[in-house]
Amino acid sequence: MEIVQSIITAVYFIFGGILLFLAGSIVRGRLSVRLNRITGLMLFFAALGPIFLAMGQIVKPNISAAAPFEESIIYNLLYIWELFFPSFLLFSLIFPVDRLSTLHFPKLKYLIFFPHIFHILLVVVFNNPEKVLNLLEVGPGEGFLSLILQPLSYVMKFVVLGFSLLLSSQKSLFSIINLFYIGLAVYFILRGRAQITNRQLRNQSAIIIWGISIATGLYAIAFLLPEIFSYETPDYIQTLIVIAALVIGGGAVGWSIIRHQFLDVSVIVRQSLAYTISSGILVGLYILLVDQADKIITSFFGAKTTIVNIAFIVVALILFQPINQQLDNLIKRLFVRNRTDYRNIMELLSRRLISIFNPEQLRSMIEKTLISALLVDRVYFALFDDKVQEYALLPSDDFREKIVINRDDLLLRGIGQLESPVLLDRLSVYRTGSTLSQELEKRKTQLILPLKDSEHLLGFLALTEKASGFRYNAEDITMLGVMSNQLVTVLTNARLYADSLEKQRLDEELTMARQIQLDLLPKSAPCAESFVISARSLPSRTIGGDFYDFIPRGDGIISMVIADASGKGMPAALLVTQIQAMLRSETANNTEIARILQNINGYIVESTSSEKFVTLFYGEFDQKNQRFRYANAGHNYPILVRSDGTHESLSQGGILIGAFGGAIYQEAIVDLHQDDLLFMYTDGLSEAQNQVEEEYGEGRIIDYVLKNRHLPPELLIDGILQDMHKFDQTEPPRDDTTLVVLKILKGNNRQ
Amino acid sequence: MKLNHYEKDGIAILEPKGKIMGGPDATLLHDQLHEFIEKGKKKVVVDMAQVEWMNSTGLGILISGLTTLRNNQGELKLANVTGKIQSLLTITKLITVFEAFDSVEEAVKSF
Repeated sequence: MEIVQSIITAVYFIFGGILLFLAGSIVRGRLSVRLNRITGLMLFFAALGPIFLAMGQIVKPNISAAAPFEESIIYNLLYIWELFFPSFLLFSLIFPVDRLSTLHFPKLKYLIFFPHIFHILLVVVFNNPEKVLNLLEVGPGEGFLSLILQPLSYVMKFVVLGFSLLLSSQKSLFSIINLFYIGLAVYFILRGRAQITNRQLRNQSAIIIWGISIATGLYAIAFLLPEIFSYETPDYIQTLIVIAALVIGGGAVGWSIIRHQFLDVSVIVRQSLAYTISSGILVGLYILLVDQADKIITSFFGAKTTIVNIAFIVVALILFQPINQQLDNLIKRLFVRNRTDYRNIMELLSRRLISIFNPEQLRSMIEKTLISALLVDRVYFALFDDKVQEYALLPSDDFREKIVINRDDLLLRGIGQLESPVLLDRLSVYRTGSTLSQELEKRKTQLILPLKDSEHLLGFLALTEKASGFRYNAEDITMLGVMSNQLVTVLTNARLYADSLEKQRLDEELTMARQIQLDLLPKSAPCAESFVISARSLPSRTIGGDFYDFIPRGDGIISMVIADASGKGMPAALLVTQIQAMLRSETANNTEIARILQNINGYIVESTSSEKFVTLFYGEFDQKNQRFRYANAGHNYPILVRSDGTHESLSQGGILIGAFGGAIYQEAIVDLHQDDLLFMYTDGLSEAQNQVEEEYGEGRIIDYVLKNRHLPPELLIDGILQDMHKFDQTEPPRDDTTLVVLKILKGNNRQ
Repeated sequence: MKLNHYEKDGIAILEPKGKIMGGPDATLLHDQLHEFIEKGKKKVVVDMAQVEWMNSTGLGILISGLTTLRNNQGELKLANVTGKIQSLLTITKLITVFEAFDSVEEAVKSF
């Protein structure tokens, strides 16, 4: 029986110690915060309960029958622990909803301690009313003084008798008061919890509320109710219930501190808390083990042996450190190294975020991580918007409008100079006249987290106050600082990825456009016994602004066109496609070349701005009489090389197409003969440049064509393109290059 | 391209330098011409003496300058057109719409 007692004593001590440590950690973690002070106070008084119980267990056997234990000072000190009940009520007035801040007379709250302080005084000072009464006895008939003292002494006796009456029933009376306090506190807490909307805070408060409520409820069942309704509970049941209440109540507070960041205690404190709990468990196990071993040894040897005890302690001392280490690690793994430890958050964040490229998904993941890691209420994003080339506050659930931030905004420039997260309060020098500051105030921003790569500001996060109401501590700010680097990486990755997707899409579109353009070019050049035509078009980009076409006009007449739109790429290609379509329809309706070009010019002038134009050479070859009629609308002069080696330029026509309305074109006629060669080209050929910025030029073209005029057109084209590439090796080529060559094989000899 | 400008006998003279190639050049010239128009200077001479080279986009810039001024009852004339630019204007037959002079003085006098 004695051993059971000592185990109970040890268990009480351990729990008392853990509760004391909890109280100390909480107060030490955030002394400036009232909630922490009150929670610490509550846990301190809660800790006194088991500690005094343990001390009572030790003292009890030494109390003599003459001075019963129930009346000793130690026993009566036990009542100090009952200050737990008013401090619990005080706690309920501030957690989860702060009701004290709205009080008119804040000092009034201490009144709830009054009954218990009175109670302590009552049991400590008046625990023996007879003694006090004897002191108050005044001898009769001693003159004037006794006349005054007599009635006073009667009054005092009356008061003391009242107290002693109170004392005789104090246990049940204060049990009722304590029960009332518990009921009131649980009521306040539950009402407060109903007002909380934040999911994290609800989880946190649920554990605390149920933990403390169950613990106090158990206490009420074991001690208060029996006292009020005068029935006995067996000692061992009381002890079990006390232990259960301590486990549940203390555990709940500890759990929500470790797991849910209750009271915002820092990681280091949380870790040492885990260490204390593991040590406590280990000491408890040791005591149990020693007890069991003692029993076995006693029954074996028939008596106690000190050597065994010493050996046991030595073994325990050797094993304590490694086992405690393991246990500590286990507890940390289970509780501490979770989403509330920032090293873990970092790890989690990088693993999760690195695979997300969708910017919206990314932002929501960052927001979620911050909310669960720091209990941030809300996170707002301000990022550089590539489209408008400005920073913008992105829309959120509560502020649905995107706010573009003026690049000269003072606060924005202030944020641009930050290197680490900063409380918005600290930026007050930048806030006068800043619209950004007003927007951030609307969003109740407390902390600014700049997102900066090596050179510039990508944007920033605006964090509201924590849902728990705490301000950001140094640990949070360190963590956010480290985290911002990671956020910059993932945000940049996502942007690069989006860019590459966009580029890929554009490339695909361009490839399609290229295909359309190729399809619009003639599949093959017309040819007959008497002539051969070859053509080639090389765009400098995927698509280009050059084109050529052959249109059979019937009656042995073939139209041929070579054209070059100003500019390059997509805009030029669109213009060229338009002209090509018009040519097809105009040649179907008109026989006069000048009219065809005038009409096309009119349309283009109307539909495009004047800096967009096309140079175009249009010719019609009549096979019957081998006559070539043409008009040159501002295009590089085609070169007509005669069989005898003379050459002429086909320059007649008019101004380039699309720049000036009402332009007039004139057609001209040349007769072609056997072995004559007409070389048509665009400026991609003539304006090719070598390294000293010399142009390939018309002169070189004429020379080459003259020298190689006997070659079949296809080979002539190959040859001159090779010659040009030798001259100008720029890749991709500077400009689109198109060549069309007509050669007369057989026909009227020169007359 | 660099773009200087000055005034001579109430005529605005533009002095492009280097290569006229489009992109930022277009905006530069366009903005300068609009500034002239807003100030009521609608007679402009472009001195081509220091223009090394011009591509089709550069040509488009000149054409657009001419039409802009003409739409505002103004006129754009060219001076010191030589070499490649001369032949470019000839081939495209733009020489028929642009009045070109051998010197700035002659161009200014012609107004």
